[in-house]
Amino acid sequence: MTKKKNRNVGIIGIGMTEISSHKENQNQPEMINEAVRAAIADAGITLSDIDCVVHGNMELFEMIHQPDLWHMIGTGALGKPGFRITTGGTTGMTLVAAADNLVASGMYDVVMAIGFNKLQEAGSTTGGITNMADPLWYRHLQTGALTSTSANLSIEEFGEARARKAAMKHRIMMDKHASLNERAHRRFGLEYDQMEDLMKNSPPLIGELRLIHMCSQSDGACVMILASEKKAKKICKKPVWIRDHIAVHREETASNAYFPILSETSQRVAARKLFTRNGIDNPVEYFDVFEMYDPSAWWGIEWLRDFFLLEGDEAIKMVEEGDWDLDGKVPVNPSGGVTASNPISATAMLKPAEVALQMRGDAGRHQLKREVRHGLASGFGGVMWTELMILEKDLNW
Amino acid sequence: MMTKDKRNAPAEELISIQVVNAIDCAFPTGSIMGKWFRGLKEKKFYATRCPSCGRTMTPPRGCCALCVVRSEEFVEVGPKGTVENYDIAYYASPDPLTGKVRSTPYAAVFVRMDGSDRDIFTHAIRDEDIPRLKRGVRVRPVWNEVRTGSIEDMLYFEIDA
Repeated sequence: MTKKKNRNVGIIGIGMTEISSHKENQNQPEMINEAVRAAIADAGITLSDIDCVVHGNMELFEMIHQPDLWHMIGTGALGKPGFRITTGGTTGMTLVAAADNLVASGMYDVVMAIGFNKLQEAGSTTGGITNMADPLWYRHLQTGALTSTSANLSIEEFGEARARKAAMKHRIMMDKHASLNERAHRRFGLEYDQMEDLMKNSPPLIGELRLIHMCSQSDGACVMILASEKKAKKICKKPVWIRDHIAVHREETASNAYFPILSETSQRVAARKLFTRNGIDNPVEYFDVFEMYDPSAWWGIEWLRDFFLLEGDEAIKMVEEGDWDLDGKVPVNPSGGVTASNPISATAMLKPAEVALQMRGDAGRHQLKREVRHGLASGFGGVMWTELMILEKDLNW
Repeated sequence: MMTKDKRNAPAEELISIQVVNAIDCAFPTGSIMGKWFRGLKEKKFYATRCPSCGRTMTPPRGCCALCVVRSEEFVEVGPKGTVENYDIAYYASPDPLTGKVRSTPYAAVFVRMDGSDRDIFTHAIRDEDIPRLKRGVRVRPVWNEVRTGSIEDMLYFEIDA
């Protein structure tokens, strides 16, 4: 299946709050306003230049419905056309995908996408996620997004010692990246010689999944402004281009997602289809950076194999050899990833936002040394839904 | 890209107000899941079979999401099955509806019921069996004496040995 855009779309503005565990000095519209102002300033435009606003979060975390209406004073959307999007963990990237579609279609020239969650407000993120389970038969068992099922399968395939070490190495690598990122929430300053200690002493949550493996529970907002090629070139010195994106939905029950009943994961299906229709034969060679929605270190090492269409132990070997590091073959999560920062419905937008900042050379202390021309970003949500997006520095594909 | 809120509100104006929500819910099953829950009352597991790909769905769904066709033929699966994966919980997350917190550890098992080709059904495993839990182990259901047509009609699986 081919997919052609009606017209090209560029990212012209990026704004984000600092990601932290608590934002007691701001309510929701105030937090969002901080990111909206930053994005508009980054684009060098005014609110009147925005034609449409798409807004999204997972409502069950703050327990407030239609937040787009009472956020009006923070978003500046009053009187503008708008949409509200809430697709679970993928929300942040679905917002960008929707904004891209709205601009590419010719419907609007400039669209602002706003993703946020303030997880501190409802207190129990895991309780909230459990609410997505079927109330009739599965809710009494589900424990949010906490699961060891991926770890169990990795251990069976690669052996206990090798799999545990790979997951912990990935986790420490993420922390090292986060430590360079001034916007990241958790920056522990972990060192590789702490691996054995963490594998033994980090509190166990579920099976092989320990507290240190799991993503954070964060507050934060991310805003991206997208514009048509013509407008983007006029407004912005360094627009970053959205080449293509795909959403792949998974099975119909969480049980089936935790023991995949299909031969391919949604991550692999998304990658295979997206790379095929864009003529990308060797993703490890092609991409200069990958920002991955890795909710846990165990899922991280599993999905690297799928996203790069690798086989057997190729991805784990690349973990062991440091190929995903900042100076490796494909730098993964220079931002520190989701185990460092997870304001859920901003999370999947922080992925393409970080790729775009890397392409512009504006990432800050964690700016990659290589030139970033081709970037990949992923989103994840229950039940194993995958969003995958290709970004390009130059308009030449 | 990042701005900091420079307003310094006095601490006594930064107030958090705690609210505990208690919500009464009622979820209709529909006829397909209704058959499933009536089956549990009679210690039976009913799945539906897809007329196109032939797979069974446990619990039953009225449509095969893979083939996008109606699937209203019921077949009985189980009662025994094979553990395909499992989660042993050490962290007590609260039930989102009641706020109740389970005692730990407890475990969920992802079971391929006998007669089911690939679909997975999940329930708890008997706490005493947790140390012997591994992939491939055979399990059988343990039923509640009082059955009302709910998921709690089945207490848990236990290892079948």
